[in-house]
Amino acid sequence: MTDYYLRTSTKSNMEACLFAAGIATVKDGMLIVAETYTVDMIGEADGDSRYHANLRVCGDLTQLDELPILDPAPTTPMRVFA
Amino acid sequence: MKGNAYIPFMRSRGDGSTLNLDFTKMSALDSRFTFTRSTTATYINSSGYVASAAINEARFECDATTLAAKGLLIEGAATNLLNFSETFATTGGTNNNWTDTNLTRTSTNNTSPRNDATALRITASAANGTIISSAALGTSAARTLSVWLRRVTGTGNIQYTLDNGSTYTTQAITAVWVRYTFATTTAAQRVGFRIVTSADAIEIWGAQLEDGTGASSYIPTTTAQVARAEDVCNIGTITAFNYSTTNGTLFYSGVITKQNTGAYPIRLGFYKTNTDEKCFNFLTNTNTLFFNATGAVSAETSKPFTINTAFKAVMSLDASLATAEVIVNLNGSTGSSGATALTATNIPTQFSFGQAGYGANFPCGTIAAVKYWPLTKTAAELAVLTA
Repeated sequence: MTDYYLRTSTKSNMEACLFAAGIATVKDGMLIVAETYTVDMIGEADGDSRYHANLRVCGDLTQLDELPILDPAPTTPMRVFA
Repeated sequence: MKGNAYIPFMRSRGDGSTLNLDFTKMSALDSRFTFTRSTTATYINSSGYVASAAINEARFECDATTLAAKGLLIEGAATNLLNFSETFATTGGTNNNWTDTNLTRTSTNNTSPRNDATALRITASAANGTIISSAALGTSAARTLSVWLRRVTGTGNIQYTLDNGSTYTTQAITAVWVRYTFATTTAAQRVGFRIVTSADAIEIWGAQLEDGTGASSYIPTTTAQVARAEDVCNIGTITAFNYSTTNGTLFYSGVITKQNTGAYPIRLGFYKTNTDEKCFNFLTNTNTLFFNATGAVSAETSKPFTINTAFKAVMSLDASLATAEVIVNLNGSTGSSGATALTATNIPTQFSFGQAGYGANFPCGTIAAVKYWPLTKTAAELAVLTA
């Protein structure tokens, strides 16, 4: 398992990135996440009004270039996976 | 992850059922189940204590007081929005800390609901000793605060606030650990607790504020908010169930502790995974259970349930007649989809508990028992099953 911290300017941009990477789709207005991924849609974080999401990947992430991954990852993230 | 403990449950019990699961009598899943959850999670174990389950480990929940088995815990994703859910630390949180007024922290070495020495004891050093979250959490939304409390000394009122102390509500507590839940929709959700009488003392542990109506299992936090992923469980080989698209009866008993909203995910039932289509299932949305049979022409009806209250539900499909319909019963209350030209033609590929991919949208709670018969039962027979 590897965790990534994602950030875009808006929620729709975040969804667009997840769709492009094959991580999520929309069905009946709901974000549907593909197998082997866990997505936590957060929104604003630590006073930063940009849109944040956390991504947990089981296995290798091959879509690194398609995702707005924070690099370096935050040292004190506001939210983590259990 | 596959389970590895063989439990001989999938056989007819002499009543014609081809699937017969009693999760209250299990402590592990049979090897025919596939279970995933990408995070750790907690549950109440058979000793009544809060215990931690590893990633991909199924949880079998018990009642903290009676120790009675409640069944397989299947929960949607949730996040504890509070930092320092056990230490209630005054500094170091990325979202919030905890602020004391007129309080003495006696120690954090008291036995907790997890049966370790991590519970915080607080004593009022003057009237109205308070401990309150230092930051408002998000905009106004339906959320649920949960926390374990127990009284140590005194008899004065113990109160909680959801709005930074603007208003307080008294909660009767005892000397025994109990997890209390409080619904909140206030705009500035700064939660906290007050000991009204000087020198009274309580112990406090496991504070959790989460989105939605009802509490899910406890999610421990320290410096950051923590997200728990959803449980997804299925039986991928269902040939032995003799699934019928024309005649079938599905029984489900359990408890829902937290509602989902805005979606109709599968709680349990037959599912066609390759095209993501429902077949013969129980679905949920808010406080309502939906009985669903799906195909070229679908039928569905619904009945409300009560959160945190055990229920028994059963649905029977008869698509073999011109007046085909789904007959249902929840806790003795009958209903039906009405006569339709029902053709429940979707062919399932698995029996699912939860619905993969929809984890942010499904409810939380335990599944006690499930049965399936590939035949139609009458309304009177359904009533007997839920009595």
